[in-house]
Amino acid sequence: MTEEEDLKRIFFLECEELLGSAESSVESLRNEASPEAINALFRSVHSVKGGAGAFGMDRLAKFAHAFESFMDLLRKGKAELDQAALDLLFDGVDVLHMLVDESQHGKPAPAARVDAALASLRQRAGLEEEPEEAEPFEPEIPAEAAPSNAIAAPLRQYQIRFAPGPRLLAAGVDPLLILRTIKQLGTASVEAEVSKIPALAELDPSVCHISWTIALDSSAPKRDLDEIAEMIDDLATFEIDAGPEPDMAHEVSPAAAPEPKALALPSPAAPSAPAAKKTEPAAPAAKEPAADPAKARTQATPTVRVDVPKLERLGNMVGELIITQAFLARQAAGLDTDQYRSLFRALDEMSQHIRDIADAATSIRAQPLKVVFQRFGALVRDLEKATSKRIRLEVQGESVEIDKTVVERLSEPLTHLIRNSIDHGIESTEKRLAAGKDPVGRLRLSAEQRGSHVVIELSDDGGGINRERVLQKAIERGLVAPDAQLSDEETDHLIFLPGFSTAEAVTSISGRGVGMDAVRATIAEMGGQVTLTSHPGRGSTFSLHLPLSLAILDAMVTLVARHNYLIPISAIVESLRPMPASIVRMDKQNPMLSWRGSMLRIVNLAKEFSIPGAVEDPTQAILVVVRPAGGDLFALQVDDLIGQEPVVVKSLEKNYRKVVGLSGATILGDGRPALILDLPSLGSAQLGRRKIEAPVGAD
Amino acid sequence: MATVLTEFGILWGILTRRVLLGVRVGDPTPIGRFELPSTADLATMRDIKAALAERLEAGQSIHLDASQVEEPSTALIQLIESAAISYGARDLQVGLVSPSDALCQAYEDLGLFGALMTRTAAVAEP
Repeated sequence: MTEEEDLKRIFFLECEELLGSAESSVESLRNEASPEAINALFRSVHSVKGGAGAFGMDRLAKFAHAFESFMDLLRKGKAELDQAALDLLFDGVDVLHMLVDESQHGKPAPAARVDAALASLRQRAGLEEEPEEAEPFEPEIPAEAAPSNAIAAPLRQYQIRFAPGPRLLAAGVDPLLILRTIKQLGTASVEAEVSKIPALAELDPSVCHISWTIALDSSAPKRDLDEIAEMIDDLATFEIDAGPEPDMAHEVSPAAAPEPKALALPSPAAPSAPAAKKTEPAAPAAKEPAADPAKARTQATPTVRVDVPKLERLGNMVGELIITQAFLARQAAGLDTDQYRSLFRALDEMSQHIRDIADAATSIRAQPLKVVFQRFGALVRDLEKATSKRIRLEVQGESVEIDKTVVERLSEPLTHLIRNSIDHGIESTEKRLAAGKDPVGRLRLSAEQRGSHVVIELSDDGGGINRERVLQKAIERGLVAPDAQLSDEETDHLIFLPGFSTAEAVTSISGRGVGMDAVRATIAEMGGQVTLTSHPGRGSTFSLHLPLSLAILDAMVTLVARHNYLIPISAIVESLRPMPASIVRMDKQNPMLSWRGSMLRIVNLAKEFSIPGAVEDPTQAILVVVRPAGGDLFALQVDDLIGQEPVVVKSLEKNYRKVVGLSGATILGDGRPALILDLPSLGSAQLGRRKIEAPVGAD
Repeated sequence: MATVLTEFGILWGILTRRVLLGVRVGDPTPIGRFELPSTADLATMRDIKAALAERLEAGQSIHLDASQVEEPSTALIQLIESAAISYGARDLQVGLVSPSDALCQAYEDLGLFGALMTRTAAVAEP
């Protein structure tokens, strides 16, 4: 890839973000004509124009220029932000998308649409008919254009040099306590200098010959360290080299920059406090620029673009580390804990470090849901026009982050759910008025993190599920028996069955051949679950429960016959060996567990997966009470519990095929493959009534 | 009760200049064994040093049973490391046997976890 191609690639990535931001700004302007949103939109368009001009993308640059000119009038108050202007802004962003796509992929943007939008913008901006040349490329993005979500870390870096003097130990001060006090202030990396420790014959045990360099990341103020320095003022050298203030991360004036480290130990007579003061940055100079909010924004945490394949590789390597760590832990399990105490300690430390690395790798892959949510404003507008319904979209929790793979795959199912809600859920204006409702339908899209899951909810205030019609269709299609007695919840969930559609005719809105079963399947493939609650006349809520990360799972390893099956730890409520009185047999086939006043269905894995040789009697087996995200409690019957283990989830579908009841596979610490249970599907009532397909042998 | 006995042992050792619980004076084996006390103040340290020097003179590697160390100090760890330097110079080893959690934590907090691994590895080696 040439340098120019590389720069173009980066530009298109930036365009994606800029246009996403532009969409949000226009959406925001629809609710309120705030100067911030107008300025933000101006900056986004300006940046697109600059890059397009630099790369000779004339059509894009000319359109962006006209757009920017109109925005300039709006922000100066010389043009009015009426409904027509708002429509033009929405249209302008859509056209910008098309033109970027045209420049990137060569897919021609519809000329008529581009020309019409361009003419409108020129007219509103008072530009001449003749296209103007785009302004020269301006590499510097305005200060306000810094990403709004980039927040400076509040941590400050300190470099501390601690060298005990000859009287420190005799004075009753143990350096160990000093170091522990420092560690309590943040994350410390301690490096000991031991070269001055004399041989045994020369050692005076009352004199400490070790010195330390400590790198400390802490949100604590420097005075906390100064207090330590004062405490041992005459007894040790304690030099503090404080990094820039947290809000000054990237613009430190030369006067404020730390002086070169003075590592030479002063004589015991020289107090350490002055040395500490000497290395302190000039505080007033450092604080001054932060007073300017615009500048403060430019001092946000720097970011770096990384190719996704590199992230994938990092994730895979972290996965391998976890497997290796589990292998080592298993190998060490047979050793004498007393004799190899430090080995076990090191293994524990390694395990923690690997977990930290895994968390960091997961967070690197995480993206805010805004990336996908921001697309739905335009979708709802289009659907408003197509259905002649009036809809107000409310979005919450855009900043919740989730794995990039999940974000990318969420767009399609959410689009379908939104289409479905507007097409089938929210009533026409007339019907709403007749029902005494607000003529504007309300669609609420929200996200929040709950433990190791993210829950995305889409609620509408429409008519709710028409259960009578759903049941009738299901019977017509042979999905349920004519005499079936289903609860309201079971009836509602019929819409997720393959091939189910209540649409009287295939519409261009939701009847696109992607049924709700596809939505459920997509979410299930990501290890998630869809649930539905509906209230007649008041609306419906679809809840998508998704794991934060697809890659790493804390699992309980269980044994069924000689096969290992894994249960996500987050779903386990309790495990028990039941007393005979706790097992209630409604019929021979389906025993239930009486548990804390509830009757729980027992899913016998051996029976479900046709595994011979497993414990049959539940009172001789182990029952693991689980609650899948968003689901109901039930009990899994296994032969034994082996232990907890972090595992790397591998796709069963990619490597073998989709198996109902299983969400993936992994390699355990002892090198054996194991299968990961798909609790939502195991727990579903429908599944409980039918046999799961033939199992995949764990070995 | 165990603590009382240990403290009594240390006191007896100080009084007799044989503070080293578990030291078997005149042990014919090439590796001496030595139990570190639960607490080691500066006064105790001098006695431990004397005993370590005595073993060094005898030309024996030494295994320090650190399982009872409850209140480790920088001075104690410095002493162990100093001994390791001197023993190493004579191709002998100082090994740590079953170091207590408190001692392990102290090594780590002092930035000497690598040294701890070396000392414990010396014991694990055949």
